Amino acid sequence: MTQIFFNAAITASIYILCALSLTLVVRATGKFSFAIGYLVISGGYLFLAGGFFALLVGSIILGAIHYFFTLKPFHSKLLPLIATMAFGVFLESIISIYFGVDVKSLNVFSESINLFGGYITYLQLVMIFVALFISTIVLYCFHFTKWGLILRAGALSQSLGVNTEKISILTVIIGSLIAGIAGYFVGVDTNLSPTMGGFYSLKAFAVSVIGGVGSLYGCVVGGLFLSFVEQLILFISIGDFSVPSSYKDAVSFVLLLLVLLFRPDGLFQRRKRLV
Amino acid sequence: MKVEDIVVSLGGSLILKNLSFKIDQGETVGIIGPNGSGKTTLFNVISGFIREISGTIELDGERIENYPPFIRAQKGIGRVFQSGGIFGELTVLENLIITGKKVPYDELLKAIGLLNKAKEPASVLSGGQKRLLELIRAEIFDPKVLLLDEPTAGVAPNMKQVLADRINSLKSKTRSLLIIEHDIQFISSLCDRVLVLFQGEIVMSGKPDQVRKDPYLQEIYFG
Amino acid sequence: MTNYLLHLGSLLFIYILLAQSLNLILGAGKLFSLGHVALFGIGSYVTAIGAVDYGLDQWSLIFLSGVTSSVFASVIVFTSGRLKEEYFAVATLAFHYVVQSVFINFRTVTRGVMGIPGIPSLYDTSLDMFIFIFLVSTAGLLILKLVFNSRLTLLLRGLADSEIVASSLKIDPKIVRLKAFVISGFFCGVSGSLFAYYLKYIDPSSFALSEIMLLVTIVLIGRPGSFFGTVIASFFVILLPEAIRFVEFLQNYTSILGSLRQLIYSLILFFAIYLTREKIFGRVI
Repeated sequence: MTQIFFNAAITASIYILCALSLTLVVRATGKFSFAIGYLVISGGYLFLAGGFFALLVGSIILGAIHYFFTLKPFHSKLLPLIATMAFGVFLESIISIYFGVDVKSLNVFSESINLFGGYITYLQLVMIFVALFISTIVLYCFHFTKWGLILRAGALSQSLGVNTEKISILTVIIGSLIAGIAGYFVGVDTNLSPTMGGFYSLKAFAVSVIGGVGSLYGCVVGGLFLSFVEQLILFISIGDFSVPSSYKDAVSFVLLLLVLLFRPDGLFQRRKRLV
Repeated sequence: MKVEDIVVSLGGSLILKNLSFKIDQGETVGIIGPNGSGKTTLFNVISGFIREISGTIELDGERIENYPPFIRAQKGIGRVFQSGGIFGELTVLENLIITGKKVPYDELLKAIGLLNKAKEPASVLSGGQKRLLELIRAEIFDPKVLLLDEPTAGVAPNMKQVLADRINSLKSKTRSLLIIEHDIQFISSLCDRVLVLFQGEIVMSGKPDQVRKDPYLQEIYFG
Repeated sequence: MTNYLLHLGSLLFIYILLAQSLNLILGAGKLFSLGHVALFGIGSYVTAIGAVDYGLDQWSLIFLSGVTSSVFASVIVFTSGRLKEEYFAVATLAFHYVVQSVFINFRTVTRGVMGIPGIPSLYDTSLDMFIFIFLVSTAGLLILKLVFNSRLTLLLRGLADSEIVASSLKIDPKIVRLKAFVISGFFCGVSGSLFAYYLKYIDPSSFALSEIMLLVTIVLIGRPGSFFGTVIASFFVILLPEAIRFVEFLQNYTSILGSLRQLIYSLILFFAIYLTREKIFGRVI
């Protein structure tokens, strides 16, 4: 049982970071981006290329491109979705060309320990802590700093002389950094292949929609919820029927569809729709 | 058509408060009132675009308040929109064909002088021309109750008479018209009866001339 | 050389049919369904399984593929049809991934990642195969052309322009969308079937998400909603990257042709969307 908890916490860390990245973009620009997952994967490959330095610098640059080319010029909520997808696939192709299409792993060996009856490695613990740390910082800043204030006020603050564009750029870049860090975790915990981008992009959406689009708390709650459901699904057996583990991801996407249909404001939203 | 006790609240404030009125077959009723009094909301309720209401709407004895807009359209509620209910992306001719009725479209277009623009996208027309097109489409559509939301809005003054004539030709014994307008003269020339809407309630009703001269009306409009 | 041209031609006509079916939904109806590759894949798999496991003949399978894809297309509309455009797009993406997950994981039927090889060859020469594809595709295109000229498409376009005005004219949004999707889905399935017969081997990787970009690009470039525009755009978009094979200094890179192709498509799509961004949504925001 503890193992389920641990596994869920590990995948939740990644999912939450992806969703945070997406939500920040949505709050800052009011638009949807499908590039998040691709930014995640790029982060992983950037690390492969040049360590943390490359990851950070590269993510910042990608974040800027993300904002200026694929978000800013498009004014509906739908067009950026396509443009960011094109951007994402562009990144995927570059990665394929440069690194090859085969699966890679950031093999970082870490000792496994037995905690409360479940196995977890030190590195995985670090992952969970980092994810918690980042979430807390983002949430804190969102509520208690000027940046957060402007973000919460939205586009209307322009009429009060606020340079909302600067804030948007900053936020999107922060989102890109978070995605890059998530990429490192993906590379360490599972493996990396260029085609995983769209998958994580959609996961980010799944978490956001389940937790409530645009809600930062929703990212955390949604991420935890989704991870737990995925882990639990693996253990369910009704009579002779049990869900093959390979479908666990399809489950979250089906959940995404169900939530969109029946509770489009998220499973946990109490207040009115944010976006 | 009968509208009874309609209460609509949006975002916490009451837009329409226990609104009730009746309109008989063949009648032309005007609705006037300052901006924000709820006129377009009333039309949206009748057409079916606002469904979170309490109260009832009856058409020829049939309760329609639970029907979606396209069913209400099938039952005979037609609408001319304030913001121009023309499909800009479709051609002028297509805007008429979409009603699905077999009528001599060319003749109708000629009657309003738009035959030469039949194949052009409707977005090239002027405000007044778009309104005329909408009116002929309404005629083809043949509704039992036609809701006209500010037909002269955005229309050049010299077109108003043309519009008034068109609306007149839409009147018939089996058709009722409900017209929202600001231009009181326009309304007076067309309507049998006028309702004054103010802050979500009907505060006055009567013959156009009576209402026009009532000092309370001045008060409502000009505070 | 002729074989190469026949190869290109075959693929071309398969894709034109597929693109045209998306054109109906996306171009005319402005419904951003990004799940059409999944429908295409479903058609291919139905044909592959039907041919390899059950030995059914080609005409039954082409029809069956079309019908199956239609059914799934209607699932898309039933479930997500009422969602706002951007959420609808996300829902279709989810649909895509779920379907792809089934392709990869339902190993007993779909053979998973290994794919289904050994789809029986229909004709002995490439020329005969090309003619077959050409005929079926053209038949499909003719039917689609009729649909484009029909009242259904008129209603679809009106609905895309303003759902509110359309509703006031007795148009039932649900029925119009359903019909459009069913027709579109059918031809997705048919083109998928041709694809399976052509390649004689299919696997999940042919139906990756990035393929949808190709289709969206074709529809956007060729003036959305225009039948002939899409045909011309298909020629352009599909044949262009093939030109790489002939450019001297790039010939060393044929090993990464797949990724290069994808790169070019993503750029073309980006520019297509950038240049048409005002026109697609004439009604601003």
